Amino acid sequence: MKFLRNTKRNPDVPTASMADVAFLLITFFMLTTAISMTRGIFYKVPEIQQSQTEQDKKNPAIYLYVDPTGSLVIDGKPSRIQDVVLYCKEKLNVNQNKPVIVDCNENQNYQKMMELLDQVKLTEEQLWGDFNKDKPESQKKRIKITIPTSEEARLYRPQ
Amino acid sequence: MKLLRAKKIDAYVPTASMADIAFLLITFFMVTSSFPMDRSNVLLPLTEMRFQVEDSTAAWIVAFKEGDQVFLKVSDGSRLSEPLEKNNPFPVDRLEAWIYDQVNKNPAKLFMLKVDKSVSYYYVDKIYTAIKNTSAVKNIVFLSQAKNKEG
Repeated sequence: MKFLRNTKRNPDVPTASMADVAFLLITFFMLTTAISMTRGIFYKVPEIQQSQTEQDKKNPAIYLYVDPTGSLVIDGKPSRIQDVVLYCKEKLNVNQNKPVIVDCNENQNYQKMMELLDQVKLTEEQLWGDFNKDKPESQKKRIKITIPTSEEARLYRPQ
Repeated sequence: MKLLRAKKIDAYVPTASMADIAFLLITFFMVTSSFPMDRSNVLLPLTEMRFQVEDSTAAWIVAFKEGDQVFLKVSDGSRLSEPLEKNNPFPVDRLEAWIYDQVNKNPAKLFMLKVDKSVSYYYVDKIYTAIKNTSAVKNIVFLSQAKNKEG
């Protein structure tokens, strides 16, 4: 009887296309990932306390308002957007606890309101940016920003 | 004089470690990438001050314009944003209940506001009023894109 000779084959996992697959996955992640989308202006919603009204009387707020014509009014005076930082810095240097109210008329677009909020945040950065560096959130100095709803804003807006 | 025969060396690029490098890059992208919870075509407002927000559990409220109409979409942070109501583009009445539900599940929930810069502040105020009415939301992020300082 004739026996067949066993033909020996080396076990082999084909890895030639592994790099191709890997680079395909890299390309997928590079294209789908969005790094810059989650950046913006952080706003802490103020808690309403009973003692707040009493405190408000002692610390009258800085009132920034974009009126129906799109013009900026700071504490009742027509102003330019460039004036916000200087005005707020002056006031906050005297009293750091002074609240800042950022209000926008409903006929204006969202960009107008964000420009105003941006200027207030810029003021905060210029005033306390160095101080806040490497400090935990609880120890950072922040401007007390209030964005009123349209209902709340009726109290402040010029008639 | 006896001339030495030049030794022939085969040209060879070592590619053995290529797969390792590729998988290292994949791991990097997998760890660092975050998939946006919303893919709407929104032109964010321009601001100089922008802060990186890292919260994969944040809820998203999206408002954008198509023609004259403003549309509202929401995401709880675990799935892609979708309209609150199919037949109503801006169902702000239902938004308050949705926000309340989100805060009930996670009291420290962060809310991302992704609103197109051309949207009237009237709609933003409606969203903001709904947020404030719950009296439970602590933090909001107004998403923005970088403003060119020269511009």
